[in-house]
Amino acid sequence: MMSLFYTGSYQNVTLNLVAHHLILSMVQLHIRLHQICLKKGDYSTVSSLKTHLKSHTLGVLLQTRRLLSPENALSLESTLAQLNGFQLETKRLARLMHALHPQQPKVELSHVLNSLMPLSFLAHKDSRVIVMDSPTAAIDWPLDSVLVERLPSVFHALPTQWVVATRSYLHTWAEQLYPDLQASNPSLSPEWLTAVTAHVLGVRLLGTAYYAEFVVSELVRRDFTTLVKIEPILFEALNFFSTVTSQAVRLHGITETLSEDLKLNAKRNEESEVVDVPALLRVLEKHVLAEDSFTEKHVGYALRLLERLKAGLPVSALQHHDLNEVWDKLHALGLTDESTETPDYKALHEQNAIYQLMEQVGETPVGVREMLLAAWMHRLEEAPDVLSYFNELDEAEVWQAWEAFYRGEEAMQQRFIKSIETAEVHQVLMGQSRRHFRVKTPSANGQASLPQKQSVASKQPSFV
Amino acid sequence: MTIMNESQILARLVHPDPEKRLIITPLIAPNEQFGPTSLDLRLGTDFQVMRRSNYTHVDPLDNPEHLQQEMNELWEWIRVPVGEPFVLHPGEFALASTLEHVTIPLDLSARLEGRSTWGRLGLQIHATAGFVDPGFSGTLTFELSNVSMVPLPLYPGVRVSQICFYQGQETLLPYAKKRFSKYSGKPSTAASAFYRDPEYARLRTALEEEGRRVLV
Repeated sequence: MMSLFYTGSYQNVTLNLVAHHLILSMVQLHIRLHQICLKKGDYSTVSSLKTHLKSHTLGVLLQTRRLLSPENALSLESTLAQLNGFQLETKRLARLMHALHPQQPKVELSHVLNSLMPLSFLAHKDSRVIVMDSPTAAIDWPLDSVLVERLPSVFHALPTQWVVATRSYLHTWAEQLYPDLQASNPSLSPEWLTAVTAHVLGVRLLGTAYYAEFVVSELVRRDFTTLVKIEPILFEALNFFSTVTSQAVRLHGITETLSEDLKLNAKRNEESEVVDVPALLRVLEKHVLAEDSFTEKHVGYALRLLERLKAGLPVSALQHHDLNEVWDKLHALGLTDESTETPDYKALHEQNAIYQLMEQVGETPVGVREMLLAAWMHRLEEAPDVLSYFNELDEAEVWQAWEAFYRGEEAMQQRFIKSIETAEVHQVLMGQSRRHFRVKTPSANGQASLPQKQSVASKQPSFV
Repeated sequence: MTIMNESQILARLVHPDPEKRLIITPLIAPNEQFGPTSLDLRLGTDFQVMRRSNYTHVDPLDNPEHLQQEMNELWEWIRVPVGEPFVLHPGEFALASTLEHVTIPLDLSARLEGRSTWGRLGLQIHATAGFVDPGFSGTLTFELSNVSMVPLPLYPGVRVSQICFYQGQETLLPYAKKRFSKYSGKPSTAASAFYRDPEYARLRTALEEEGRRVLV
């Protein structure tokens, strides 16, 4: 079924992505309701919420099936509008649950942001990002060492959505950088340059995960104008740093076709908004540390983590030795059940051979960047499978299938969160520091070095 | 069925056949973790302690949906960041789990044991449930108790336990596929789901039919 994502029409792929987003939002509601325990004996409130959520979920699944069927004669825009309508009720239920049982954002989310974001522009060395639910956004935070990010509580458990929580941080940073950026694109208005810079910084720090989140969320919001203006710039930045993945190529194709279909090209080509991306990137490189940057290496790690996610394994660490080689050595020494050789224990003791072999099965921790990208790759590949899974069922089977699906998704999310915590412990035990405050020091000549630029015209990612 | 030595455990960790491969991840410092017939496992970051003040008891014959809600309320979930301790006081009981995810092949079974270093300080890592079935996959749950007279600070990542393995014939009842298995695939600490044992469903039905109990 994975091929559907790569060969289906762009309308199908677009609808799959939006419908999948809607289904994941409903998964969050079910997880939340499963966790809710109101005061003892107040079972009727939870029961009525359960009944309401069940009827909403069944309604969405059956309506989505109708909207995504080949018989649907509605236009792409009308179909997206109907899917968006379901999202409104999902959001209302999320707010209701939050009011009944307020939820603290996950500590892992704050850790993710603090480990990803250089906080050099904040005033204090102990600066921190904290995450709050959207309804608390209006509160003014009295400390200038704290940057408050907002994320609706319905997304607190969904790691792929955590990328959204970086947006206001990136915008604040872009505003701080504006005096330096102005010369790179003098014809652009400050608002437009700051907005573009914030997104480009997102791609520089988080790579394809940021890009994918941006494209999917703009599709869900049906803000096609913003999508076709910003997406090509982000794709160019990804290409510049050789971090394009096959999923990004597909999303880029969707945006291109969408803009042609909806006659949006004229809007994106306004002269006052054409951005000199390489010039912008050159300035940004003076401010982004190499260790904070998303690189081709992270894409390679994410692809290996994706295999682990598919196998139901945590994604906190990777092997760097070839385990087959260790097996062959053990075999040659007569230390496997399949060996015909008799081990020479005296020689093995003298050589300390077993310690050398043990050392090679050790793993090294991975960072949040590659974990987030692996989660996004998995989500993008899974989307068509999820929809076809529900479409192939009888109406009577849908509820049972839904329960199995959401439990599986809940386990996947827990595994991901556990991986983030485990990687943090692993890093500390390996003697790696967890720095939260990083300042870019310009090089001696004041120029940051850039990697060799690739041909953007070819649109051929180096990785695939 | 004999206990496996370090070479046999190591060979299973790198076995080319995925069905025979033992998975323990992350393996942070194998040279420190391997013993002659065991591998040390570490303490994870999430703990659960009982909030007893609202309950006189938990009756397994209650409505299972209510019981699930009661268990959510009864157990308080505590996440401990790296570098900070979870303090287990004398006489206290808490649930925790391994930092590592463990997948056992179908022809191996395992026992989780405490390390003597911690035993000498009064830490017990399981009450009675140290056996791990073939086919289990997930984190292993610790039933921590402090039988000493002083509080024990427990830091995530420390090696509090060791696991040893036994090789036998391949089972036809792997844990994950066993009917009524309740803890397979759990990525973090799992509280008891005792009320999901099928005998309670039969007891509930029998008592309802006899009119001796009405489920609400």
